[in-house]
Amino acid sequence: MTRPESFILNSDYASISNDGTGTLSVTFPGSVVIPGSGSREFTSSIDIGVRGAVELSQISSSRMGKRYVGSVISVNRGSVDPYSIAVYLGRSSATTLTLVAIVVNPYNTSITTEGTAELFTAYVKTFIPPFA
Amino acid sequence: MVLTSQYPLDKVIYQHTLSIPIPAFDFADVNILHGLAFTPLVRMQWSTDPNFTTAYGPDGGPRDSTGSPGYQTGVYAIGNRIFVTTTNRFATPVTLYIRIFGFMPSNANASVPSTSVQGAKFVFNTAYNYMKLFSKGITSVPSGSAVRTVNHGLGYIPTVMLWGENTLGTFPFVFNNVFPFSGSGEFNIDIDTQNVTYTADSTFDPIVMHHRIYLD
Repeated sequence: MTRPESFILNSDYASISNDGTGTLSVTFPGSVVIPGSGSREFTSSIDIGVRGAVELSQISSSRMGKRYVGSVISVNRGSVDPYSIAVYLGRSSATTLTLVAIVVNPYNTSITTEGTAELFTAYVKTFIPPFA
Repeated sequence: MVLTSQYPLDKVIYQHTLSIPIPAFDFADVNILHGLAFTPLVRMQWSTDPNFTTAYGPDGGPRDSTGSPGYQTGVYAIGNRIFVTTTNRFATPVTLYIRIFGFMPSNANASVPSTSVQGAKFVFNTAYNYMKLFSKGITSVPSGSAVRTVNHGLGYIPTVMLWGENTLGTFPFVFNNVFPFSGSGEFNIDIDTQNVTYTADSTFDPIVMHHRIYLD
């Protein structure tokens, strides 16, 4: 056993490797009618990295000035019938990541999303863990 | 550059693979001894396939009819144990295959067993651009409204891995709001070309953040 932090390189320990970099965006339009207890979603996908890679992501909204770390954000919208837009990034196949923006209508009656379209963007880097 | 003596390659000091069978509409949590002299900074990936044909991050994977993740997973470490949580929201039983890997926190410097795979794989292979550790450290974010920054000054948005630590343990930061670990408050992290900024709202419990910022 050695102290791994004492070395720049140490062949006793596995490491992690850079893989892919990409950006994908999805727009949730304004004035979308969602039936009572229904949902509406918009998706965008990107082919990135190698099989077995792990993704690190940040997500931003056109209504917010920052990139927030994580694979999931939820923003509260609407003044008449408040609702949330949930945005999350997940792997839809071995090398495909999909960004989903979804509104689930919590009411029994239909709602109409308010305001202008909102653009959500995910900034993704993938790395290769020691198992891959 | 593939290698530079200015920055160390990050070293994986813990690896473990396990499988967890979960009944329909149920959950299964397991914990394992990690055997290290410190609490590691762990992350995970999982698959429904033992060959990891498609490997997911926490709460990735197939979604149920409501759009929510059908299999919810998590990993965190407390003291000498690593905890894995899983939930199956589908109507059929499933076995999830879990890969855990971990790093040494910046406030530890202990001897650890080897994790490299000898023989079958190259230990270092110049076909890969290994991730070079630009900086690592710990930042305390106190209770109440608070903003703390870590300056990296790289001029571009780097790759950053983050973990939170509180009285419940150390967990990888993969969601923007770290519920359920820290009460009802919100906690956001923004990474720009100069800083990593932590922002906690007024109801957020104190948290210690571990960061690893990579050069590439």
